[in-house]
Amino acid sequence: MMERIFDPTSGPVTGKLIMARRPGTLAGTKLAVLWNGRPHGDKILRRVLDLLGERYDFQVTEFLKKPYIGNVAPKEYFDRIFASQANAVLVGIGD
Amino acid sequence: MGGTRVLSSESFEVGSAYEAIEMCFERGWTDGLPVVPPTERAIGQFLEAARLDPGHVVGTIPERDRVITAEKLAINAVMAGARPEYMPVLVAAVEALTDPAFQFNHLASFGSPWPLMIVSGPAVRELGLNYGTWAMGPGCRANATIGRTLSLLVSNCALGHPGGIQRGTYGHPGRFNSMCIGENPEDFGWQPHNVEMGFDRETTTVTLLSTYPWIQQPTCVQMEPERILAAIGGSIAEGDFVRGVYPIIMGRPWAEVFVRARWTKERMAEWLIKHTRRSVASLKARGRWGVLTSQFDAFGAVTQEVLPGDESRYVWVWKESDLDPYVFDIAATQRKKGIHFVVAGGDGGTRTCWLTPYQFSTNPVTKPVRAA
Repeated sequence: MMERIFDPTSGPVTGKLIMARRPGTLAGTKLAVLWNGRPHGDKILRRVLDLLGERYDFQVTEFLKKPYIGNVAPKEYFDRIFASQANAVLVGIGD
Repeated sequence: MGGTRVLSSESFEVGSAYEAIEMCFERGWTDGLPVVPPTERAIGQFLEAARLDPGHVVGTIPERDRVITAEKLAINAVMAGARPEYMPVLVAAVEALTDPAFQFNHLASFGSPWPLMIVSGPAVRELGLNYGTWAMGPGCRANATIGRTLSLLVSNCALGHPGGIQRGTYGHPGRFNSMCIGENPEDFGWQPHNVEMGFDRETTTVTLLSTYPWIQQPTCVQMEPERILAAIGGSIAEGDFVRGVYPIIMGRPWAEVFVRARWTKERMAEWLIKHTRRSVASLKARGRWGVLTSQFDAFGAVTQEVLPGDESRYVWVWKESDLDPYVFDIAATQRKKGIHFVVAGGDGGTRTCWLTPYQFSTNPVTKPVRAA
């Protein structure tokens, strides 16, 4: 018996997503911060900012908290990050 | 609809059914059990039963950048072992799964939630869904394969598997099959679930309600309305103590107690809302005090130590109080809360059943089943 079976999977609609290019250095950059909302995530992010601040001179343009962990960040957040002309986004979780 | 359907999915030649099954395993297309090989003829029968073109979009999942087409649904239904006539119910299930109110992304959570699927209305009899003895057990093709289709679809088309976007700590055994139940369609004076959801009796509905595995509760010491509800409410209060929409499932003998006593579902819910509570002392003893409160700034200062008076301070599962911020995450308190009473299960034994809802970022969704 020769038969054909069909692929049950489906891929992304908009094509393969690629990672944004990493900035070569944080010195002189604008940085946005997105906390996913988990408890203590803000503490982790602020500590990371402190440590990075000891090495680099950068400006934090936004510090946003998602309304809820399990939901995608609202479009308004992306608009604000883009409007702030951030060069990079620091994202973090918690618990 | 009709005529030749051109499938767009990639296809692979196989020499035998056994080879096809092994290929599905090798490619990671299964849930760990063998699947039925999805051939063009079988897929065509499923699309014909639903009278849908292969490219018809049944639902979209923006969080995964995916669309669910009728073709992909049919392929996964074939693989699950479903029958073509199940397709209208499956279409309604996918419409519910992809409704923005359901908020698909929560299924990736650490707690491994998975939706209980409640089918209510004429299709329960037409498709042979089991609503009686062993309602949640294996053995009934309709229950098992409708439920399994949804699981395979989420795995194959929406990255709902380890290695994809799935962070569940333990997983959910109900994903294999047994989270699809039919509601008892016998008319004995009980308001059926489809009517409760705002549809007429002749419209079959599919409700998805995200939950953890079920808990059984002995409830027949005294078959009186308050006694039954006290047993169920007490069990819920002693459980995870989360706020949300709870499905409570009882066999016909228990439902008849309420019908005979002229208790409506509203009265049943009011009783549970009023009485289902737990003391602060008990919540602290179980480490359920100040744990899920991501919005609670004084988190670090919250003590789990039981203090004098905590035995007589209470928090309610559904009724709001000033103590809510110590127990419930604000995301949960902003969601729907309530109770869905469903009649299913055997008429012997001593137990009813309820399920803990996933309490954060989801709401139950009900969709009507449209005739093909």
